This record gives sequence, structure tokens and C-alpha cells, in this order.
Amino acid sequence: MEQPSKPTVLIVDDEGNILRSLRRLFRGEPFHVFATTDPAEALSIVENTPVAVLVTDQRMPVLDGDHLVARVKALDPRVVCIRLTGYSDPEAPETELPREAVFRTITKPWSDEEITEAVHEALRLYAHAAAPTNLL
Amino acid sequence: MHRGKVLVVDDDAGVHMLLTDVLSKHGYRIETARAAEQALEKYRGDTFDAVVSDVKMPGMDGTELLREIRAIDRDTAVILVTGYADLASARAAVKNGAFDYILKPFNLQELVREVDDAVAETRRHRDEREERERLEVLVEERAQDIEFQSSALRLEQERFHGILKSANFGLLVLNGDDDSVILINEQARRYLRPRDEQRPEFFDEPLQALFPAGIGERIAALVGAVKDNRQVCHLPSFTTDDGFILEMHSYPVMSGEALRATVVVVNDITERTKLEEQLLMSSKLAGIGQLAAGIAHEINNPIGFVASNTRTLGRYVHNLAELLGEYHKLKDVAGAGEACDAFVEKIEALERKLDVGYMLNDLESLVAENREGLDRVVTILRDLKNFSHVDNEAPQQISLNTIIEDALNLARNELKYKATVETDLGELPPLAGHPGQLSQVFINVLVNAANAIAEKGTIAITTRAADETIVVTVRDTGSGIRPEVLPRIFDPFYTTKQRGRGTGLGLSIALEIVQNHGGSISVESEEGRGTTFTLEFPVQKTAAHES
Repeated sequence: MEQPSKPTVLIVDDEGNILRSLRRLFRGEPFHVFATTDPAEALSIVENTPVAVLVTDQRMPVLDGDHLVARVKALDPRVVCIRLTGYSDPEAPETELPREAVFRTITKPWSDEEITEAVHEALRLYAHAAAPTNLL
Repeated sequence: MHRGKVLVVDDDAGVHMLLTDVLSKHGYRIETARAAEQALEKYRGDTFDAVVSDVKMPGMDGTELLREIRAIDRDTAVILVTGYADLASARAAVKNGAFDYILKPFNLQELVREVDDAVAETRRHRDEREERERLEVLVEERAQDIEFQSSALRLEQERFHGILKSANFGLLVLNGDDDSVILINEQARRYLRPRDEQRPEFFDEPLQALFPAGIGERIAALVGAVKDNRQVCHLPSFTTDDGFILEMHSYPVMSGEALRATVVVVNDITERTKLEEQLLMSSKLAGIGQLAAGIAHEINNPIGFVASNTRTLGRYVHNLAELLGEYHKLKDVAGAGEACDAFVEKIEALERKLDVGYMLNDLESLVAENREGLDRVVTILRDLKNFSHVDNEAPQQISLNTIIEDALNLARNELKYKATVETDLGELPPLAGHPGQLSQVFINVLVNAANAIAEKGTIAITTRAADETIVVTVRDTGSGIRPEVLPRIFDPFYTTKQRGRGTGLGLSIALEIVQNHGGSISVESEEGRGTTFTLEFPVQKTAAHES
């Protein structure tokens, strides 16, 4: 049986420290990590690479988390999205993002276990959703 | 216009003619009667200004006629006409109410003068009677008036007492001369607790003796201040032994320069003070929420990566220590050779200089301590989060019993070694609220209860529905709360726990959430016996408050 290639997790946050910190946390995990501070770059990654999970900050200049999720979902509806938020962030009222578009919201400061577990669950969900097509 | 109407009574027709003739000339109108009976008949049917009657007549005589006339009225003057033979009876008649008598034969001038006088007398009598009657009517009217006024006064008095009685403030009125009590209403009795007020001498005793210590002095101070200043004087609020928080002021009742009375007004501000305290607490909590929201975003990011990095750093240190250990072994087994010896020597010198053994040992605990400190900051930030209500969701219809059972499950680890949990959950109507927040409330209260228990105790939870209110009590058999601490337990950041063990936010968050659900929390505690938290939630609210 063919060994499936490692899935990709894309992390977007306008603060590089957060990205580096999460990269360190996810080292050794069975998935690739792409990390960027630029939502536009994130969109081009989704366009060109199959991304299983998106972890995005909510409050970012230019494009906030909800809008990014909406754009990513438009490109690839299978991407499972995790929102990372400082709790006082406004709930982006101008996007009418459907509730189910965001798989989970994790508040900063995060717990390492919680975010790792969330990514694992998101990956399982992605694999499960993808499974029927694999069977064909 | 005639001068008056005169009834002439005589059995002699000649007298009739004579008198009619004379008196008519003087302007009188004359009626005549031949006998007393006929005269009475005429008298009853008409009004006369004078009667001139012969004494001696067949049948009823003049004195009898006089009696009969006097029985009818006392006004009309009656002149009796008599001969010398009957002078005595005529004189007696004058005593019995006749105006006068004249002797026959007539002296006409005297007759006319007598009639003039009689008519004047009659008129005077009539006027007097009328005046008397008028006065009597007036007196009667006045009497009724007075009766009416006094009943109005009574009514006024009743109203006054009613007002005093139902007044929501205490009123004490003291005599301006000797400070004796003139008036004290029911509320004032309730607040000021005068001693033995049923005694009759109560109102005569000096002020200090009447009221319990602490109250008597205050009243005396107010009265003294009014005497000195002759204006409104206020006293700072104070708490009585009965638990009333009272505010008193006094003012003078002046009469010119003289102080007639001192009025002391007593207001019960217990309820108001409690509300103000609640309001203060609410605004404190709201302030915390705003502060938390303001600084959170700035702090959450750095704390997020520093905490996560420190953890990773711990792993790295651990890995490096392991690696270093292997290097150390390598050094021991390194083969001979000058280059090698020099290297080993140099490494050993460096190891001594840097005290590597100590450093390696300390490095791991250093990272662990940093980690612990950051965890505490993270916990505080998490707790603060509860002040700004992450779940902006609409309230749901929930079962408070289910919430409590969930909270018990979540707090199980904290509770199981400390307490036997007894639950008595009554049937409850659904409540509109936020399940996550409410579960936080009960976790905080339960963990608090468990922390109060030193060794092993009991936590009893009851829920009841009563009058559109759900009442939850959480009773523990812990150490209780010292009275001086009790007022502060809901203050944000106030904690009696060891530093680092509690953020001091648990109960303030619980209160904040309960208040946002329109409810309230109260506490009763006895040192050494335990504490009971009572949470009340109104049921009728269709939605919890959103902030």
C-alpha cells in the first residue's frame, strides 16, 4: 500500500514570533508546516499546494482571519480552519462567515497541548472527508 | 302708614267708640272685642302692637285674658283699664306681665301716652326677641361650625398621625426648653430603640437616659448642634446594634428668637448602602473587564510565544544536557595523545570555571520555574477573559441542575480528596443563560469550597425553585471566612491563598457572571464551622443581559 505523503498545515499570523514559536512546537509532528505573516502569500500557497489545515490569527492588518478563512474556503472548501484569537478581538461583523467554516477557535495565550490536539483533530477530519474519494 | 294696631277689649260699646275715635286720630288702627273670649280669637288670628283691656268683664276678666295672651306670646304690651274698686288686682296684674294700668274715667292724654309707650314696648320686645332669636340661630350655627371644625381637627390629627406612622423615616421631636420628648413616631422607635417607652414618665426623662448607648449620644449631639447653630445639622451615617445603617439630621423649630422644638429625622439607608456597595462592586468588575480587554491583546501575543518557547527551551535544555553527558563520557575515555590531553585539560578547566555541574542542574529547574511563572500569567489572562464575555452567543434555555452536575464532574479532581459531595437537586424551571459561564460560576464556587476544607469535609448543594427564582446553596464544612475578610471576598484580585495559588478572580468572576444573569450571590459564614453561598437567579427573564 502506498504510503500517503505528509499533510500540510499552514499557519498565518502577522507576528513572526508566534509563527516561529508554533513551528518549534510542531517540529517532529507528522505534518509539514508552512508559516507566513502575509495572508496573500497564504492564499497563493493554498492555490498551489493541497493544504489540510489552516491555523490563522484573527486580527491582522489588510486581511483578518475570518476573511482569510472565507477566501481559503472559496479556493478549497476541504481545508479545515482553526482560528487563533486574542479574546478581545472583534468578531469581524462584516464577514458573514458560516459557523461551520471555522473548525475551532483557540484563544491566546494558547496551551501547547490544546493547539496540538486541535491540529491533530483537524487533520483527522480532513483525512476522513478525503477518504471516500481515495476509495474510488 | 299707621302707628300700630291696637286691640280694645271692653264690654261697653261706648268705650269702644271713645277709644277708637281718640286713638284713630293719633294714627292707630283699632280692633274691638266685647269679651275676652272674642279678643283671644282676634288675637290668635292677627298681630297687635298693644292690647287695651278692661279688667272687669262678664265671663273671662282682664287679668285672665292677660294670662292667656302671655301664654301665646310675651311681646305684646297689655294695658289694663280699671276702676278704683279693682286697683289691687290691676296692680297685681302688672307684676304678672301687664304693661301698665290706667284708671277710669279716662284721661285721654294719659291714655294716648300709655298706648304710645305700650306700642314702643311691644316693638322693643319684638326687636329684642328677634335679636335673641337671630343670636340663637347664630350661636347654633357657630356651634355647628365648631363641631365641624373640631371633627375636621380630629380628622386632621388622625391624618397627621397616619402620616407619621406610615412615614418611611423616623421622626423625633424634642422640646426646645428641656429636650424632653414631645413626639416619636413608630419608625423612630424601631431604629432608635428607646428604653422602656411604655412608662408614663418616658416623655419627661432626660434624653441620654432614654436611648441605648451610641444612639443617645448622637441624638444629644444633634440637639446640641441645633441649639448652638439654629440650623439644619447632619450626622455621619452609622450602624446600630440591630444592623440598621442610619443617617440622622436635625433642624430647629423657631418662634421668633426662641427655640420651640428640635426635630430629629432618622433615615434608614441600609438598603441604599448595600445597593451602592453592589454598584461599586459592579463598576469595579466592569473596570477590570475593560482593563483586561485593553491590555489583553498586547499581552496575549508575547505571552503566547514566550510560554510556548519556554516549554520548547525546556525540551532543548533537556536534550543538550543529555548530549553533554555523552560528551562527558567521551572525555573520560578519550585516548592518550598530547593534543587530546591538552583538550581534556582545557575542557576540565572550563568546566570548573563555569561550574558546569551546577549549571546543568540549575538550568532545568530554572526553565521549570520560568514555565511555572508563565503558566500563572496565562491563568490570570484566562480568568480575565471571563470578564469580557467571550461567548457573545444568545442565551439558551438551560437546566441549572445539569450545569451543576457538569461543574461537579469538571471539578471532581479538586473535590474528591477533600470532600464528600451531597446533592439535593429540586425540580427547576428552565433558565435563560450562558451554559459555559454558569458552569464557570459553579466550578469557582465548588473549588473555593474545597479549598476551605483543610482535611476532609462535606460540600452540600441544594437547588430549589421559589417564586420565579431559582435558589442554589453551596454549603461547606470548611474553615469559614473571618468576618473582617467577608466584605472583600468578591473583590477582584483579593485572595487569602498563598501567592501563586490563586488569582483572586474566582469569586469576582462568579459574581460578575451571576449579576449578568440578573441574579445575586450572598454569603454566610461562621469561622471554624463553614460557609454557605446562596445564588439566586430570576426565572422570568427571557434573556440574560448582554454587555
